[in-house]
Amino acid sequence: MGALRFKYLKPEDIRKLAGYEFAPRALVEGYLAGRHRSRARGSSIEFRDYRPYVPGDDPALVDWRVYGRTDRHYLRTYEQETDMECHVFLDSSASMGFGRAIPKLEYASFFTAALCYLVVRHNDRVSLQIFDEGIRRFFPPGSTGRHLRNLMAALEENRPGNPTSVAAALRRSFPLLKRRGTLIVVSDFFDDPAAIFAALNAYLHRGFKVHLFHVLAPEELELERRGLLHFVDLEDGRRVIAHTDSLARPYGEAMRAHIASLRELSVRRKVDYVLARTDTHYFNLFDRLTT
Amino acid sequence: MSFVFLNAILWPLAALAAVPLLLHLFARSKPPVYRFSSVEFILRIVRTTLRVKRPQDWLLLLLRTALVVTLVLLFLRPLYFASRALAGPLGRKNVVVIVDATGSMGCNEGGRTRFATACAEASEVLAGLTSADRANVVWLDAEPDAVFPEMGVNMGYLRAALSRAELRPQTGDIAGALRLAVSMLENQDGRREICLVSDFQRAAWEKASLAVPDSIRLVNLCVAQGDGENGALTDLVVDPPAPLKGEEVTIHAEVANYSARPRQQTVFLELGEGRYNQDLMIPPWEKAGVSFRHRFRQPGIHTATVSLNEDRFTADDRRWAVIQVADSLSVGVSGTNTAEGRFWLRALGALSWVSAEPIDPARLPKEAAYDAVFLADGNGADADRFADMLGRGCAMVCVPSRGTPVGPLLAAAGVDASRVPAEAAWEILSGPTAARVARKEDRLFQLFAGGEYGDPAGGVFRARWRLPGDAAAAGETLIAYEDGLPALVRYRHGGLLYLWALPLDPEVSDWAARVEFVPFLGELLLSSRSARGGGATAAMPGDRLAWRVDREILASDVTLQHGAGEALPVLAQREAEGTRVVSESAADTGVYTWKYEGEAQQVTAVNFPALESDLRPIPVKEIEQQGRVALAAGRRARELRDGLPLWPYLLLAVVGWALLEGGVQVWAERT
Repeated sequence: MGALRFKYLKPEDIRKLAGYEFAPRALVEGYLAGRHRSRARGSSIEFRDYRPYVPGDDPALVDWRVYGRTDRHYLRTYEQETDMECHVFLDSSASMGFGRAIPKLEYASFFTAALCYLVVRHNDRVSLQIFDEGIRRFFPPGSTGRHLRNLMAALEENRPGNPTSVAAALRRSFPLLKRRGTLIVVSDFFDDPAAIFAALNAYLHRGFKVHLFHVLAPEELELERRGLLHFVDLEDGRRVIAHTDSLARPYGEAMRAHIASLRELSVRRKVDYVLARTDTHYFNLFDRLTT
Repeated sequence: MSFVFLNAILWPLAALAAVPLLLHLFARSKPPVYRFSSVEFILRIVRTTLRVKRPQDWLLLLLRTALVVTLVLLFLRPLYFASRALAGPLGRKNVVVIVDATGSMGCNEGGRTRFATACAEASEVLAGLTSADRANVVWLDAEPDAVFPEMGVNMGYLRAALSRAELRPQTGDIAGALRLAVSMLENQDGRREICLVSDFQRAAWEKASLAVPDSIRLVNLCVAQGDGENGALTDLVVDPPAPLKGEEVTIHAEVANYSARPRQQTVFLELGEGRYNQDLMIPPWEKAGVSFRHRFRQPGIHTATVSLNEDRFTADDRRWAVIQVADSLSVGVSGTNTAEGRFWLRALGALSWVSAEPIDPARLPKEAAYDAVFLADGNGADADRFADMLGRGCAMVCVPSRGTPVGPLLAAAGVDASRVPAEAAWEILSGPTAARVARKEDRLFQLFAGGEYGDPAGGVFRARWRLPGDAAAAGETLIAYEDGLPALVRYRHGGLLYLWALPLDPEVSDWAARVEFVPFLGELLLSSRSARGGGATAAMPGDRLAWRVDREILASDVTLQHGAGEALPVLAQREAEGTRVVSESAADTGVYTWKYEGEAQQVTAVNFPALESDLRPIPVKEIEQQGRVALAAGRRARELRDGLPLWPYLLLAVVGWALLEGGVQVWAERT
């Protein structure tokens, strides 16, 4: 894997990632026995609970000591360690093409590539969904090197376009995810926070651990004072003429309110929210994901 | 109201008014395109703030347009002409500028006198006239006169005359000045205007009529800037006016406080080598008096100078009084062959300060100068001469006996001579009768008021002259008989005339033998002295001074000296009984001394007219109430004629618009 040479996953980045381990604090359900604690009771050594025997259960799992004391059949259940599935949602709408120093989509792609690498490196499974207002591309979970190469290629081919609808994309993606795991959404979240979290509700109820990475360029956070400007929306082409001198302050306030709204809803729903400024290195984001 | 643009050629610049609008539209339509991730927030903000921003934008656009328009107007140099102003710049005009040159115009306001301001304003008026216009300047003083004998076109000469003009401490003949101005404008083609430049001092102008023909426009230009607080010497009285050597003289000075605050004044008196002073406090807008007492030890002409500590208006801070001190009173007694003449002469001889001599009216020279003449007899031929003496201030005491010219003398005293018989009737009384003082409050009886000197009318009379009732009615009865018939009657006209109906003959009266008689006679003489004391005279500024002598003299031998300064030119006028030497108008206040062959003959005090000391002007509104155009102080007549240049106001407006625009912009940014 060290010989891979992709735009968004450079050898030097791989070397740096050697020190990171992707281990989100969440339960996963996996097919293979692995490092991650699973809600599926299995044959591990960690006792979980007793439950009454029902026909069809493996008689080997019956705890005969309990039967001896209570004259009833109970089964010992154990926590099962399994492999993790990480589902990465990458916003590729037109607004992600904004950014002076580095477009947000590139920044997000670097992060996504490194994240996929980390997951695969630990034999966990990673899926990738590139979306805008709908699902543009979907790569089911996989943990092979080939799978990773496919993801890298898809990231390189990916271009910003079309309007955003994070909520719609999340709703459409839900049936595609067979197993619960970690859901990582990388987007600029130019959508209604309430709608986004309404769409996330299904994932949360199913037990997904959700991470939101809010990618924003510095000039989006603080509007530059460049006099009168003819603003053109990258997504829908809407136009508005406004003076940045008079706009900067209310815009900054509106943006901060938007971020605060996302952060507040995240806290309520126990969702991990991270503001990712494109003028900071994406490695910093792993601090929230790795142990 | 109209406007004239001096740079009308620049009117196309008015198109610049559209620049802000064009810039506004252009700047809004062509801003640089900025592809932004999402304009959702921006749209939301713009929608929210549009309700505020749009009016702000319009306001800014309005202010900027106003700024440009004002700038364009500034370069167009507009002139404003008020509807009630002087005639406009078009058409021929005839303008007479009346410049107030009276004493109050000497008030110093803002570093220059009202007169200097008036001359400057008048000059401004003239400077606004064109070569086709005609003008003249009339000086408003005691004798109004004009620079040109008729309307002229030489504005330069008029302006030079204004720049050379000097103030005259005189009162002004307002009606005369207006008459002169109106007469000059008569028969003049074109518009006719009188511009009256004055301080409109209330004391002089309150009752003045500013009536001019309807065809003449009168513009009043007030140059007074305030009430002109002033302390002034308004009067100086010497009592007695012609004292005798050693007699106590009271010099009474009246000081006025023409201000709203109490004023402390020190009054100084300079009299010969002596210098005295007294302090007094004068309430606001009040007058107060101060008296100095003095005895002159030497006869002659003395000058008393009273002064105040100087204030802003110095012209009225000094007054002069010329006092003729006599060694004795010169008295002539006619009819010494009569009992009255004889007793008069004897009694007068007892008075050390009287120089009495018998006179013969028939041989009396015309130039005879007596302080008093006692006539116990006479004939009608001398009546005119005595009337003349009476007119010159000589006191006359006449016994209405046979031959005494009572009628003509009474006629000279203002009594209808046709109703007064030439002689009074002599009446032998059946029994003795007494006389009594009829006017105890009269100054004549002041000495006897305490009773120490007896009763001045305390004689017993067995005969008397009966004066006709009409004669007594025209005068003041000083002593009357017990039955009410007048015994001593006084008439005032120039000098004092007494009709003496009290017999002094010892056979019919014991009055002459009484001790009160001599003091009474002395009091009669002292109280009858003329206010005009021989060589001491008084005049007002602007008056022509005159000196009359009873012989023929040359003007070259006479000089009239003003104080210690240079001599004034004089002119000798031959008269039937001598020479009258007259001077030019006495322009300044002070002491003028007539000298003949180097010897002082007569001294005249010329004092500042008290009327001019109250410097308060009439409010402009009151002047306007007279239906005339009136301008407040500080406004320039030239602005009315040439138009008021609006560029300073426009410049101010430009600055104002700019500041306002900046303020609105800051406000827009903050909202």
